[in-house]
Amino acid sequence: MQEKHLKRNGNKIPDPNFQITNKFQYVKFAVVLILFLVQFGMTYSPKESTTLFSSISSLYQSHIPDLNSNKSFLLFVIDFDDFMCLSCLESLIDLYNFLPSPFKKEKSWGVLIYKKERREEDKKTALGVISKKLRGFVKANRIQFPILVDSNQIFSSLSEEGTAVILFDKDQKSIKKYLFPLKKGQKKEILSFLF
Amino acid sequence: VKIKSSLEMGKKVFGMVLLIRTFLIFVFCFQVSSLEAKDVYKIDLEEILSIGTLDDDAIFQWVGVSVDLQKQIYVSDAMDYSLKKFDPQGKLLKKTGRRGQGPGEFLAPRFLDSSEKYLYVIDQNLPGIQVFNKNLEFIFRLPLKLPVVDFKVLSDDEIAVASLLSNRSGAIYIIDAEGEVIRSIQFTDKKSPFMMDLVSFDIGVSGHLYLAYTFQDKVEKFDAQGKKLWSQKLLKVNKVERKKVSRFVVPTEIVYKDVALDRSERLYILGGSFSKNKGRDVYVLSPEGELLTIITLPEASHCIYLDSQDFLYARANEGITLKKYKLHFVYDSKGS
Repeated sequence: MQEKHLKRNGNKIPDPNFQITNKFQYVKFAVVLILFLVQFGMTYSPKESTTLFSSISSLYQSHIPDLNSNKSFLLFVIDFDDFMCLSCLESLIDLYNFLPSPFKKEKSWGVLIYKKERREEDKKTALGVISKKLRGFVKANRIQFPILVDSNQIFSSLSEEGTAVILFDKDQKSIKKYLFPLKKGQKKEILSFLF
Repeated sequence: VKIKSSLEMGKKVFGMVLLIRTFLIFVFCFQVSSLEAKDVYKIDLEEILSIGTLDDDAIFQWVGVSVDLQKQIYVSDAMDYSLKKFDPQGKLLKKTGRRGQGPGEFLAPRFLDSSEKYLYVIDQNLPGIQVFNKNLEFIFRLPLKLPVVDFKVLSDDEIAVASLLSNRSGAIYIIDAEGEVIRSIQFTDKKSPFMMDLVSFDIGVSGHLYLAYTFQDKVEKFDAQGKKLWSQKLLKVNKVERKKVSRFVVPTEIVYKDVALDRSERLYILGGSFSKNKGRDVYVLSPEGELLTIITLPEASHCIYLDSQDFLYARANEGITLKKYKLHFVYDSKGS
């Protein structure tokens, strides 16, 4: 944890570290994301812990982005290990507090990823612990966008280096990924995409 | 004749009483001496309280715990930036705090300790020590220039603090109510590599300092004047691997996580990565540094705490549950 935190505090992490410029790839990625939401997701909103089906319907109604509408959206990929290192999440919370209003709610999603080994333990308890900590995190920081627990490890490869935010920019020409804690100037860069 | 026989009878009875008395004195003395010769053979844990379940919102991730003389339990919760007070039955009485840097606010609340009047809380990301009353009302912030990694409240006028300063050798600093260092106990003579002097510590009623190094296999006891009384290696760890991360070279595995003292000044040390049961083995040492026994916690914990009645507190469910255990000592004669 400490190692990861220090690593991310250093300047060795590329900025941004992947881009998808091909529109086909972009759509493919979005489809995988939507399939995940529909089939496997668990969500937590700040007001209530919803069931799978009600969360899917709410996602359909308000959270699935229209890819033809020239609108940006954010995907927060949160590493569960960072719940044990809250300073790792400080930068995320700081960014969240500066987001324009729509990005605090309907234009952002979150995915909570965790290591596969946890599944080998008592799965029900492990998921219960993860869900409870997520509930505490959402409640304490008044996070309004839904955060899904990646219980099927679909997003793990997206954030091997820890908690990140993926920005689908408004021109739909690129996807950028920023690792937390953000480096100097990155917060401003992200916000400039959103306005 | 009658008088003579009754005198003889009286002598016999007196003799018998004397014999019984001598026998009882002998048995009593034997019992006392054998009690003194007895040592702790093992310690069994009995769970007597569990606070925080998967479904409730009592605790999301507790970090520090302190129990006052009225058996009220205080917990710092890093996940919701709060300080919580529970009654002895585990019922949440009050919660205070939120994310922020103002009075009574936290960014990463960590350990806490209590005096008769106040509750002291440190925050990993904020300087100083925040002081609350027992009703969890913020009173003041104790200014402190040292980054605190562990601390113990000796009184409202004296707080012992372990700090991590890269340019100084290891020491425990005693600060006053103004946050000024009034004296220090040096526990190393020379400057060690970064983080290698990190310790957890406790101070006994006699003023003896007990400490366990976080990244070295070293447990030590000092007297109140700073004279080393003994040093122990419990795990036979020669060296902890260190890695270069960015511009720092840091140790990668924890040897000892935490220490606590009971009323008899037995030292309890929670083992880390090198223990047989990582984060679960608690080594119990006599005040003289002799290993008495090893307790194995049911679940891994980041810290251990012993209250004034010698109840042991530890983590469960990765920090969403606080468990309280009664210690049952099983004694055995030496050598048996």
